[in-house]
Amino acid sequence: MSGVVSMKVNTALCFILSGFTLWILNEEKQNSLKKMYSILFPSVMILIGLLTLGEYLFEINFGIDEFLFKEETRATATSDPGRMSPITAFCFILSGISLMLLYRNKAFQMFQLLSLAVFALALLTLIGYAYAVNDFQGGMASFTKMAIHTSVAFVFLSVGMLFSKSDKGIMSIFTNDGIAGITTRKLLPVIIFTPLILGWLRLIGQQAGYYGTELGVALFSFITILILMTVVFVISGTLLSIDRKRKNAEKHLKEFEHFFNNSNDLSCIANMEGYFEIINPQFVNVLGYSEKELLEHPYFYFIHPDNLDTTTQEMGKANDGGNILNFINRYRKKDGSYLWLEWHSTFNPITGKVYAIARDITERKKAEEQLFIANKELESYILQLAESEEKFRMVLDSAQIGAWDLNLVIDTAWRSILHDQIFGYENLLPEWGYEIFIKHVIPEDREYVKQRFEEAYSKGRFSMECRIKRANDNTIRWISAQGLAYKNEKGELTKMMGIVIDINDRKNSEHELEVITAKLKEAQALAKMGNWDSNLVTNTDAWSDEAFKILGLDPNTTIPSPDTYFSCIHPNDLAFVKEKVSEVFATLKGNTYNYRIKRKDGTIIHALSQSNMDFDENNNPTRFFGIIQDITEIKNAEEKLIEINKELESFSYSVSHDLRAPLRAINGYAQILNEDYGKKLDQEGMRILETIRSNATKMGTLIDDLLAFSRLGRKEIQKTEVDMDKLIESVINEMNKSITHKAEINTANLHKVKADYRLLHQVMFNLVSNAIKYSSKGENPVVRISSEEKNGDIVFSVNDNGAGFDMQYADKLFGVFQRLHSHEEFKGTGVGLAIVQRIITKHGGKVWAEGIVNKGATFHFSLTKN
Amino acid sequence: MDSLQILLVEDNMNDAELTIRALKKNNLANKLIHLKDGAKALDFIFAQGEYSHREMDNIPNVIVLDLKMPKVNGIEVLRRIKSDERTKRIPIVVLTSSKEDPDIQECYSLGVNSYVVKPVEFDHFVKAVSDLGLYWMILNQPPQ
Repeated sequence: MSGVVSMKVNTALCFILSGFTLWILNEEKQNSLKKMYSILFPSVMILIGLLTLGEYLFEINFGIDEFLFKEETRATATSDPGRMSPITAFCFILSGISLMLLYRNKAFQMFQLLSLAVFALALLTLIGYAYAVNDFQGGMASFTKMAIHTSVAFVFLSVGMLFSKSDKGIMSIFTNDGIAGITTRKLLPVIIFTPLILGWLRLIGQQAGYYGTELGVALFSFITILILMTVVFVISGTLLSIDRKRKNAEKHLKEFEHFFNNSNDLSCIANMEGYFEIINPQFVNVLGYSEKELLEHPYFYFIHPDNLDTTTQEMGKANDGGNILNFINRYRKKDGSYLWLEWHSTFNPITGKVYAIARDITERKKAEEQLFIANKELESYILQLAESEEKFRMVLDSAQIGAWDLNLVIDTAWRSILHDQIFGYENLLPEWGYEIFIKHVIPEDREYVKQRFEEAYSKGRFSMECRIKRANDNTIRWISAQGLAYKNEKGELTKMMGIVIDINDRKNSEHELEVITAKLKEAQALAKMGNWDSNLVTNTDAWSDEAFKILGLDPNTTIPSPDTYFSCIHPNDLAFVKEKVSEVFATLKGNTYNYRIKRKDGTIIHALSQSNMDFDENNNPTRFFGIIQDITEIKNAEEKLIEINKELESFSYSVSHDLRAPLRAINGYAQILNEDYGKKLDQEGMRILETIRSNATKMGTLIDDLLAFSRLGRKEIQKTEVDMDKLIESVINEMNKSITHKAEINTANLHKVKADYRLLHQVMFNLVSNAIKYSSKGENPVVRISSEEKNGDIVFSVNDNGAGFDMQYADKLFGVFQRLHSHEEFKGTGVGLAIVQRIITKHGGKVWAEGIVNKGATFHFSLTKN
Repeated sequence: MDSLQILLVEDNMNDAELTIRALKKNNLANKLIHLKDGAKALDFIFAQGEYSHREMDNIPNVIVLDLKMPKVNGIEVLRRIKSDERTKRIPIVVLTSSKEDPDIQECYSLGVNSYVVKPVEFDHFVKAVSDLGLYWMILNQPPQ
């Protein structure tokens, strides 16, 4: 374009560099190469600018202006060809610094100031071009010498630079969302373009001659005012509506705040760093911390240690975009106690914050806990109930008790299986009732049963025993039924319940018991023996009927007691009996004694008492019991026996005394006859006299033996330990003194026994003397005495090799006066072995004999070891 | 006055004769008085009844006493004599048919000096009576 300043090559280069730098810096991805360029390019711009200004100042040519291209000669020259104007150079220096600052991302006010300065210079140049078209060689254009497109490019560059940091510094005023931003953005174009365009139009019009300078200025001013006023009103209108909206929003906010602050719930906004950002006063009220404390500490600080994990989990869910609903955790209060809080919260991914409301549910929780405990208790109670019902059923079943429960209102009857089984059904019948029951009762018992049920109505309970016919086997069995009857307030029977037991076996055993008891009673009556039993723990006494009878008391009117008993005892025996009773208590051993009872009617009873005692582990008597026997008859018999014995004694006395006297006389006078008149008698006379004498002597022996034998019957045996060897020695000594014999007597070591020494002495004397006597006719008579232990007894044997005897007469050996040999063969009265048998029998032993004729005999007797 | 040596109390005349005969054989019957029952014996000893004229201090050297006698038996006689201070030192020999233990026990407990059972065999009888006569009359030293 001729007459117009053209853009220089360096200028274009600098614009390319600046544009590239701006592009690089606004790139999101940065790398070292790009960084290098973003430092290098502005540096080149600044360098070019400085060199160009240096050329102007020192009027020298560094040769940079036409470094790339030669300028057209036609081109409007600056001071030198191809050289950019000094203003342009200055603008590039500012732009370069500005871009470097932008790169450093620092001192953005300086950067914006520099950018604005570039913008202002470019704008000034543009306006200069606009208003001084005809005079651009002088005036503003001559001053700047900046090409028009250069200035336009600078406007774009500066705007570009400014908008690359639109959110900072003064640009934030322009770009913000608020009223300031809106106003600035709306006003700025109007303020820039209105004067510019109007000024240009005024100039055009004036140059075309439509109006003079004065009118032009007036029109310019008027239209400017009009446009600006319109713009102001439009903007104000917008602002007004914004203001209204804002006020409205503020009002809402206030209300919200009111709601937020006065809510009973705890409301808060928390960030993801773990801190509360905003909390409502309820937080302070409820937790007791100051607001500062709450905001200072991370919220996990307040959470119960046990809830940290769950809380973290819940927060995680929220972060993933979910809402937290009804989450419960515990917060520690200032005083250290904990509160249960129920949370509802939302996470807003845009703000990255959590909006939460919590409610103090501690009371509810407590109530819940109480409810929980109550529930648990109820549960366990129900379990226990079930268990106890189970136990109850087990008890019933194991006791063989059938249970039933009759609801008369809804007419149903619950029974345990056993109940129906008692009536002979394997399983429960579909239904049950009074009518079915009464059908089972045998006809003979029905009236009785009906009466019991009628009684139950008035008494509220019943108890009976009756017979039923079982359904399965038609057997008749005894049952026991007991129950309760319930009435409502109107007096109507509403419910009956009870139990049934099959008591057939018991009834049978009762019957057996009755029989046994009767037998026992009979036995006691026959034996005249009663029993008594004193329970020393309960202090109760029980006497059998016979005991009452023996004591002469009426069992129906007398209460048994020790005092009652003592009152029946013969006064003379009372002290003795009491002493005997005390003896049992002192020794804990039973005793036996005789005493007399004096009945109220005066009869005297001889009684035998045998008692015993039970005692516990501490030797405390627990039971004193025994029998009392009426031994009056025995006693009387005993007395009679004593009397008879006395008679027998006096008889024996008489025999001994009176029978022997005549014998002695016979003997004596025969002797006197012999002495005084012997010479007058012939041989036959002497033989007869001798016969008289010897018979009298024999008779005396018989009497002596008989007396000895009868004495034995009355003699009490007195047992001591007997050394049989010594006893035999004494027997042999005595034997040798009274008779001469040639027998060899062998004794082995004999057992010791407990026996009456004197009697046993006699036994041995009799047996040994018999053995000697009956073996005396042999050539080498030998008598052997031995003993052996057999079945707990000691058996003594006396053996000889003499005459022996025929075993078929063995049973006659031990009879009184029984003899197997004639007096002429062997002398003897036949009492000796009878005496042996009587003595041994008295000792509780046995006597027997073995013999072979002419070979010898053995006599055995056994004695119990003790 | 001749001192009395033997007082025989015996109701059985046979026994008495046999006894006296045995004593005579040993010349011991010279100073013997035979009484036939216990009552007489007591009268004699205590000088009463029909013997009241008798001097009481004339006591026999020995009394031979049968037990079974009419009126007052030997046991009673023994008891009376042995329980009286004046007569208890008189030696008494019971000569009886009874071998019964109770009799023997009782006699000894009453203080009898000897208890001899009459043997049925005459030889034995004579020997027994002779022995006791010799013993009490000659061997034994009575208190003065």
